[in-house]
Amino acid sequence: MTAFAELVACTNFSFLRGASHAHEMVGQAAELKLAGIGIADRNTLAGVVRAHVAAKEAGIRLLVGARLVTRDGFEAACYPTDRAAYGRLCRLLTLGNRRTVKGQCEFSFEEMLEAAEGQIFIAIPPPALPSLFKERVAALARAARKRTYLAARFEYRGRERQRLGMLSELAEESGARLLATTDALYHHPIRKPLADVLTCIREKCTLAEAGYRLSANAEWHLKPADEIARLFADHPHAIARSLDILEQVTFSLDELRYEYPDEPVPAGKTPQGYLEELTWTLAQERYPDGIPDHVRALITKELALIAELDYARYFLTVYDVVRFAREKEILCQGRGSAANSAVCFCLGITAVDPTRINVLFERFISAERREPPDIDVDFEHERREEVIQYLYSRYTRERAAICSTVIHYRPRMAIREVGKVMGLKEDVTAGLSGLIWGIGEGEIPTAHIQEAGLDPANPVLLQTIDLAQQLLGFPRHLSQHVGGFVLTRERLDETVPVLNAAMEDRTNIEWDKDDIDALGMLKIDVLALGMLTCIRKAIDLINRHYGKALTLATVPAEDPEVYAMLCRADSVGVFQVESRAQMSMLPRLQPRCFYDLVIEVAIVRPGPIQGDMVHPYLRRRSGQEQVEYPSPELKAVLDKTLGVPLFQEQAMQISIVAAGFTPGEADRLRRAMATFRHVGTIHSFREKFINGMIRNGYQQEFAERCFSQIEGFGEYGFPESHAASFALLVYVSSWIKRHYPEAFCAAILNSQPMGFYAPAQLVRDAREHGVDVRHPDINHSDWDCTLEEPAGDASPQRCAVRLGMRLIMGAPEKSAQAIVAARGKGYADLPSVWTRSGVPVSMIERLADADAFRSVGLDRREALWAVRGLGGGILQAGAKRATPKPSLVTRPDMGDLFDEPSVSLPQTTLGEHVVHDYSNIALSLKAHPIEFFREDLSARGVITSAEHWDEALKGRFVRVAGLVLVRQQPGTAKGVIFITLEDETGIINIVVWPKVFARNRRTVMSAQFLEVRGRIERDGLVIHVIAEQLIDLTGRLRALGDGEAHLPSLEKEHREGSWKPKSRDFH
Amino acid sequence: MGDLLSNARSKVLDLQCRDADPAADRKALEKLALWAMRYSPTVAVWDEISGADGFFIEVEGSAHLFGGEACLLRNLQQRLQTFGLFPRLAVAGTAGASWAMARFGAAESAIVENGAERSAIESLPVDSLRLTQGARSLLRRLGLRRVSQVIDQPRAPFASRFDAEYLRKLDQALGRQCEPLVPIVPAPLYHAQTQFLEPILSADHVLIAARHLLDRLCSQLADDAVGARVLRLMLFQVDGDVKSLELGLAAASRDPEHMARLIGLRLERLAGAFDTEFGFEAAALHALTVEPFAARQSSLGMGEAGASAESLAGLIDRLQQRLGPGAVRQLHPAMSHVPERAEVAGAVALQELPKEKMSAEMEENLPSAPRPLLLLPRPEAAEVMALIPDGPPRRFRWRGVMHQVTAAEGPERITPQWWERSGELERDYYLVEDSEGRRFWLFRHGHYAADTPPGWFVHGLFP
Repeated sequence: MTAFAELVACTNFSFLRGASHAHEMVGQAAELKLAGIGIADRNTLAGVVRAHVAAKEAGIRLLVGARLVTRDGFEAACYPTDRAAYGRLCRLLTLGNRRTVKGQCEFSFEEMLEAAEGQIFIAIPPPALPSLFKERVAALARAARKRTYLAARFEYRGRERQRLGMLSELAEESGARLLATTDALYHHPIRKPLADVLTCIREKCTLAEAGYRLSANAEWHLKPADEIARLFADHPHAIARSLDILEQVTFSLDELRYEYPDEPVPAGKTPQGYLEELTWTLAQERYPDGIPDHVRALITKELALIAELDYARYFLTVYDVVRFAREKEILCQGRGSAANSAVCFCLGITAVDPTRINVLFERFISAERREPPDIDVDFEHERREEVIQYLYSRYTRERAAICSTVIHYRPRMAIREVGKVMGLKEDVTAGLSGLIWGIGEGEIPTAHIQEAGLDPANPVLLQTIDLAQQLLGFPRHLSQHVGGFVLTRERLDETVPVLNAAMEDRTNIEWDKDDIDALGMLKIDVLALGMLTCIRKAIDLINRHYGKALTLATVPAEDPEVYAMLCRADSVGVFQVESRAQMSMLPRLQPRCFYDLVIEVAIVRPGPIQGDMVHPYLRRRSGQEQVEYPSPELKAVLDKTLGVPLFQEQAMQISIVAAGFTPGEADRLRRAMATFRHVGTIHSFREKFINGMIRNGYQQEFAERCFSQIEGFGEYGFPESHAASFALLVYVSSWIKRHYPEAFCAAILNSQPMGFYAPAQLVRDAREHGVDVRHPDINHSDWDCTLEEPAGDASPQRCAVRLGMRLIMGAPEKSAQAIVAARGKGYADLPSVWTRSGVPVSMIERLADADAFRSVGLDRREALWAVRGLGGGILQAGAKRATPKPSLVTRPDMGDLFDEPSVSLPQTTLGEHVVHDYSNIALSLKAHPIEFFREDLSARGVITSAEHWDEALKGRFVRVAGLVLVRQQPGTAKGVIFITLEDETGIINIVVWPKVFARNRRTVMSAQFLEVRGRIERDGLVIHVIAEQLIDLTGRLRALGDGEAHLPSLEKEHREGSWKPKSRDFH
Repeated sequence: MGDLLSNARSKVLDLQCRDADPAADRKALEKLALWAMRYSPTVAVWDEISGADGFFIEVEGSAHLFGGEACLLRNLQQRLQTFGLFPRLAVAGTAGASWAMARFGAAESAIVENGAERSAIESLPVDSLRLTQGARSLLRRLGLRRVSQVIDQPRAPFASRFDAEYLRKLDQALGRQCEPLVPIVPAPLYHAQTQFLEPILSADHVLIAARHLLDRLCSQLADDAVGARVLRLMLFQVDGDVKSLELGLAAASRDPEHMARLIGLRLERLAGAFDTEFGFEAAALHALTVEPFAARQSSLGMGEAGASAESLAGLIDRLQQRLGPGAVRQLHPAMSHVPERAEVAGAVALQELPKEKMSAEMEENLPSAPRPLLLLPRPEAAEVMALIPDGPPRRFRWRGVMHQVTAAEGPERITPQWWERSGELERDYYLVEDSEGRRFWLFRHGHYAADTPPGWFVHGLFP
């Protein structure tokens, strides 16, 4: 058998050209028993780490390189033979990336020559062989002597013998060597259709129009050595040379072993020594009354482990960032596997006191895998940029960059693009993409296709679906990761190509987080979290108005009143546990201590829900079911959670302890779940897992549940340490809400957009807790919401919340600040706001619309009339943006000089005010829209939210009505739809079963004002109305407004888990 | 309304949807407006602000032809209804008031007496004033909903708060200010029109009617001592279509006989295309250009251009005239790898057709092996001896004759257009030369597999 290595192959990171995943290409090469494979994507190294990982798994020799395409179209695959040459290749690509727009790479042939040292070049001949090509091959051969090859491909174009003869001659004349290749675009000819589809997507045409854009045949696939030997029988040396190249290349990605930057370690100290010194010093600060013994023991143990694994630099690097944040008073909280250790608590990386939670550190730093620990740090979302800039300045842009995120084809996009190429009308593709729920998991049920009004027997549709499924998970382009920083000691652009990000002045590298993980490079995630901003602002308000200084770590711990509040599901606005699902869990779980919150956070997640672990846990907790363990080994794993696996690492531990996985396999399983990359491999894992557990004597049913849970964990799993970090923020935000609801309200409004609730519900909740909330006003409001002195007789002496101008839609912050700055002792009338602050008239009009002139005696309509008359009528509608010229020309009293005849305007009704309040500040303090319909509703027998809490109504048939706040169809709920309604007394939770939904589809999906008739289902404090009939009352809302403004939908856009008709969660 | 299509689709599963086509709407409206010229030469289509779904007809001078405004409205309404439309009509002294009544009036058709515009529109919403979006929105926000609430307000404060259009539109509706209409077809200088009791069908009858109109028109021309240079005859079909003939006269004329002759000649020439299937129910004659009649007549002896030389074009024209369209065809190249798809017989184009632009990559995929001069209409089966897996034929029998292959090139491999699901297999083409020097293009359909041997076909011949 002939030996042969295929050295010109690409992956789907040659965007819209390559039609196979890296693991498919590499896997097929191994299957065909090739001596090696070279992966060279078009001007990028983005796919090589995946190929590297796949090659290790498949056990085949891999050459890592890129297919260089110069500005004028000269192509050559380039393989660095050593680390230095690899650095030159990276720099060439970086140069090409940085000088042009995102997604392109531009360099000249001359620049390519400059990087030639140490490279293997395989020139790829065009069909015609112009003299320029020949000259360039000769130039390459001079620059890379004995390392320049000419690719010969058996093309099946009819005249191969002549062609190969010509190439052989050309090679000889130019000093290059002929090399047999297939120039593989895909691993197997079955991918020819997908390759054609990709071509059409790239060329923006349909298959019918494509013509010669497509290749004539399907020969661009990997071929076995024997076939190559047959095709190149006249040129045997061209085959043998592939092995020479394998021999010449010594470079492997394994050489990029990570070198930690030096900055965090002061000169003259060892990393471990410095870390220990720091830890003990800071421990004194954390425990001013003396370090408790068991904490001391913990620290000692952890430091020993860190020393053993040589991770001190990693912890110091994270500490360095956190220290910067603390200096700048930016709130932060670490999470991730290693974040909640005693060392991290001392270093300030986490505020979770190791005395409050018992997390086994070594469980998360796997000595066996030798991977760096994983710590992500959340920062206040409004101030994260400062942290990013700090990293850039500390490590310079040459050594710090953000990872990329690979944007993959998702079902909707895949169907749309394939449909377009197949020539389907947009109508049909839209219909098809409506039923993509579950695509990628096998066949789409015929019934679903029919439901979308399409013919399931239509072969074009089936072909479209099939191709879309193949396209699924293909990379589309690279985007910037939200905050994953890579830091190196040497130049980063000699390790990986750097490219321009979409954001100005940002660059990112071509590799994503998984690539960095796989190579074991140092990464630190600098993330943004809205709740940290909110907590920071609340802490500042409390400090300013009540003189009480707090930090995350010093908020009084284990306050029973806080837990009592949470047990009542009184958690609007609180971090994580404010969703409807969490709210109905709180009263059942009855959290009474910090660890209960950790469980609360972890349990309402797709993993435990899909694994059907929630109810067993609740039953055991309430003592209805005995706590037992499937086996003694699992007792160690499941002890803390009453024998029910709830955390991600417990599921992984089960795969090791019970199903016999190696830790490496368990980790691969976790990764396989997290991405689309290994669709298809999940099945083999499943079999291995369940068989493994059965072999070890576990029940099949339990094994299957465990596996479903792992599947659910996939992207959304919470490890225990992560849940603990979140639980801390749950506790802190709850504590603030319980003791300073006014500060909490102002802070969360000032941190929008964030969280689950819109300002209207947050304000409503605050008012229900006795907070005095005041309307925005030009004489009292800042940009932010503020706390004001309480009304004289109010008791207790709790501040009132003054809504800020930030709530006014379309009001720019700059204008608001100008109004505040020029306010002095206050504005006496409307024109003086304009003349003194110098803001555009459009801003004054926004303020008028928001009804912010009450303090000068004008309601919104009067103010609007006055605004339009500003400047004595000089300003016409078209000149609204004009700014006044204060002092000389226009004086505040100009209006009086030209006495205007008075105009009588109709009185604004309360209903009109409420509608305008909602459409201008998204809430109203004057009334709730439903109040206006109450009489009518009562006449129809509709009861209020307050009334439906009556215990006597349990199981009874009722009518309720309200404005729709949320519609959700959780993926875990098997088609059930949850609707939250709001009336003037509170909220009402509605459950719509699929059958009822089918009958009332339109109403359920579109009604804004909804009446529901159904039965009340009650479990303690959790109440649902099970809908039987739904009536759309939206039309009535029209009567409220003035015909201009309509009550806007109260559904908050982009709310986590919310479900709008357009959301892909549907169907 | 105002919903995203995808939202609407998820609410109504079997939603039917069509793209909005404002251009087509506009065209249909203009066609209808042309038709309405049977009532008056001045018809003005509404603009965007007015709603782009209607038009004004200036009936002041022509209502009497239809027996007064009420009869005209009835007539118009009935006819529009026969087109399947649901018209809302109003007659008023001002364009603004008629618009307001048509849009917002209670009745499907209304007549506002002159001077009664104010009382007619007072109770209507302010939207009936044809105001700009900005003005409408401001009025609503000020709580001013009815025309009566704004009609007597002091003017100065409103002038300073609204765009200039606001007071103008208000004044125009009330007749305080005139409103010029922009007709769809420029109003002719002189015109005559007539209705037929029975739709007329033949060209002869058209000519008689035209003659009748010419008499009336020419007397108008005579009054002003001018003659017509350009005439337009408009014929209004029962189905709403309008046929329009324009004819230029070499010299000004007001001789009805002469002009009738010209019209007759034109009608004769149009004979075939002049489809009177539905019949005409009205006609109008316009004089578009006139000159003082004293102008000197020029000589009629303009020599015709010499007959052009016989050209290919002429030949093709005559062949096509004689043999029918489509009898003469030309092969055009088409972009396909499948040889029988790579040429398409189509209409003759004497000029070089603009070639589809080819990118460098398309050129790379262009077939490089030669194509036969004659491609058989259908591949013909042949018995072939060849080496597996993809050797060229050694010898083959085709149409009963055995050919010994002495030289061969290939294979050229062509994959079928998979998306057509034709059951086609991959083909390997070979160019072979037999011992007599004849050259053939053969292909193997499919590959040698275990059970069924692939078929061989002759697909073309080289010279």
